[in-house]
Amino acid sequence: MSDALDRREFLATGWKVGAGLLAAAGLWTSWDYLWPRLGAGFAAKVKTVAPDAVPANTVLEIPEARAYLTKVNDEVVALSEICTHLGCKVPFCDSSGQFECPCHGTVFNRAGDHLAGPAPRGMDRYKVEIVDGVVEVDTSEKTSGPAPGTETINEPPLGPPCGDSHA
Amino acid sequence: MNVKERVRDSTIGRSIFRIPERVTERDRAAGHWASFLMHLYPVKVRRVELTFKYSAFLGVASLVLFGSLLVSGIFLMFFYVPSPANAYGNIQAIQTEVPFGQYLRNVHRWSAHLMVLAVAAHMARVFYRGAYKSPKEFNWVIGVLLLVVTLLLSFTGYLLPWDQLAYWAVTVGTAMASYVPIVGDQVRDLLLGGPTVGSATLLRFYVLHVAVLPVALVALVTAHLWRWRKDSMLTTDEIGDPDEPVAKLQPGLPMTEPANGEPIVLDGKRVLGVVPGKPAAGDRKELSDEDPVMVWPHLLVRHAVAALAVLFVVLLIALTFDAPLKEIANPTDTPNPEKAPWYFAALQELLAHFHPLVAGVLVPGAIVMGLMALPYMDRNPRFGPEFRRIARITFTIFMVIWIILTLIGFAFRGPSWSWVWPWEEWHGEL
Repeated sequence: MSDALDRREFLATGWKVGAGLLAAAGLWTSWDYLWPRLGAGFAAKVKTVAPDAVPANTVLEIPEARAYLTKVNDEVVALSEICTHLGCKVPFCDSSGQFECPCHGTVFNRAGDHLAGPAPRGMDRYKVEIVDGVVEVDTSEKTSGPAPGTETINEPPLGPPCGDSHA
Repeated sequence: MNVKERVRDSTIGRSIFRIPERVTERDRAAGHWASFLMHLYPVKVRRVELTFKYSAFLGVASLVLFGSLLVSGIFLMFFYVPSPANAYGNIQAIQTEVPFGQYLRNVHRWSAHLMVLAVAAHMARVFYRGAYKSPKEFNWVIGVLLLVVTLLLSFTGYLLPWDQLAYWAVTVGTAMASYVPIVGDQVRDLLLGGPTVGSATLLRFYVLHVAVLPVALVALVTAHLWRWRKDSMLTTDEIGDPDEPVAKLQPGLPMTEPANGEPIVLDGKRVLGVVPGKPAAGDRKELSDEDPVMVWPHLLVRHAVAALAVLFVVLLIALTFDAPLKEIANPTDTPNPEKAPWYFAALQELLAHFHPLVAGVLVPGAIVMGLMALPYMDRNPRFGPEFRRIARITFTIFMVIWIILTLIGFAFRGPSWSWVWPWEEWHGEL
């Protein structure tokens, strides 16, 4: 036997390489085929209210954007209502003036800072712009919430929590 | 000659039924080789395998429940369109307008829950018996994969009613996937077909639920049964000599019982059939647990009874309890408390205490990988429970912890995941 690749070896290797390429191509096209076409629907710009109508001591829910508007240090911010822990919708509790997640009891303050519970960070924020005197929330541009321990504002709870958590 | 015999003996009959009348053991064995379904069964098993305490017939129960799910699922498909505009109304219509619709949905729901239980219990029983040991290591691995596919089937089906229970359980379940390092977000987006649970998600879960996963399950079950058949007489002695197979099938010898190893000779000729009366060569010996017995009819009749018992239980539960249907899915309102399906309740409980990477990815990953690696890590060749104390105690501890966590997450958690005694306020969801 010579060291050179003979015909038999070449064919034996060739069909395996061919099958491997075919499998890789199949995997690639399947992935591409099934990859969601994002950008439509939810991820869009949502016109809301005039900046003056955004409250500074509570929040305003914008269901179309799945977001809350509030003023933090006189600046309008849009907080995503999707919990950074596992995607539950975080409701605002009027009696305590804080966000309380129903799924695992994470608590955020009015500015979305993480106060307690298992979420890994504060509430995510959407980009806001004032267009023609109206606050526009861009839900396609999201910045991750602040790390636990960050204190954008310092507001103690106004009253008892809603969820009766850890009773 | 009665009608049945005439049909069987006709030209057409003989072309369909190739199985001979099961008079001798050889005929009975031929019945396995000639029938597609029967050939997944071994011809003989050890006598101990006929007993309830050996397997509790949990493997059969799992298979029967899968059959019940296939049949009831196909019926449900006739009245179900997987879109957010239709799904919830379709389920309502199935429950209120379609004759026996509520009953079929109940059968499907409860069979699904029972199948998760049966598969998990089957796995535990196989562990305690040491039946994952050589040469059955890989069949155990296939079994672990079957457990995973069963859970995925149940989870994908959970979304289809498109009610609040479904929507938020799947939101939380898929959010766990996004904590997988590097590819997590991509895997979640691919599963959901978008950034949140929506119409694309419903369609994707439907396709996985009715096509992809059932085909995968059938393929795995076929391999699982085939390997069971092939390894059926190869288990080593319970007393613990790993080199001594308890009973070997000896091809060429007449397969008469009892198998005493000696060819039976009558009038100087080897006897190939069963001879009535006392065997010509020696006395009948007492059958031990390890002696082989014919599967047809001894094991088959027991499996048939077990299957009927399982179906009877399903029927009773389906007639007594209705499958739940909450309000229509509402992405702007998370129910409080929000609960994952019960088989993920232990994970959800862990998620309340640990970082999601640990509780949602590392723990379940370690469980599945650990189970698959088990037969290769366990080098103890012995089967008897007295030789496997450490293995049994470790497994039991893990199982008890898991059951306790499941119970806590399922029944002892209320609004905002606070501790609530189940007899004061019930928050469990099935």
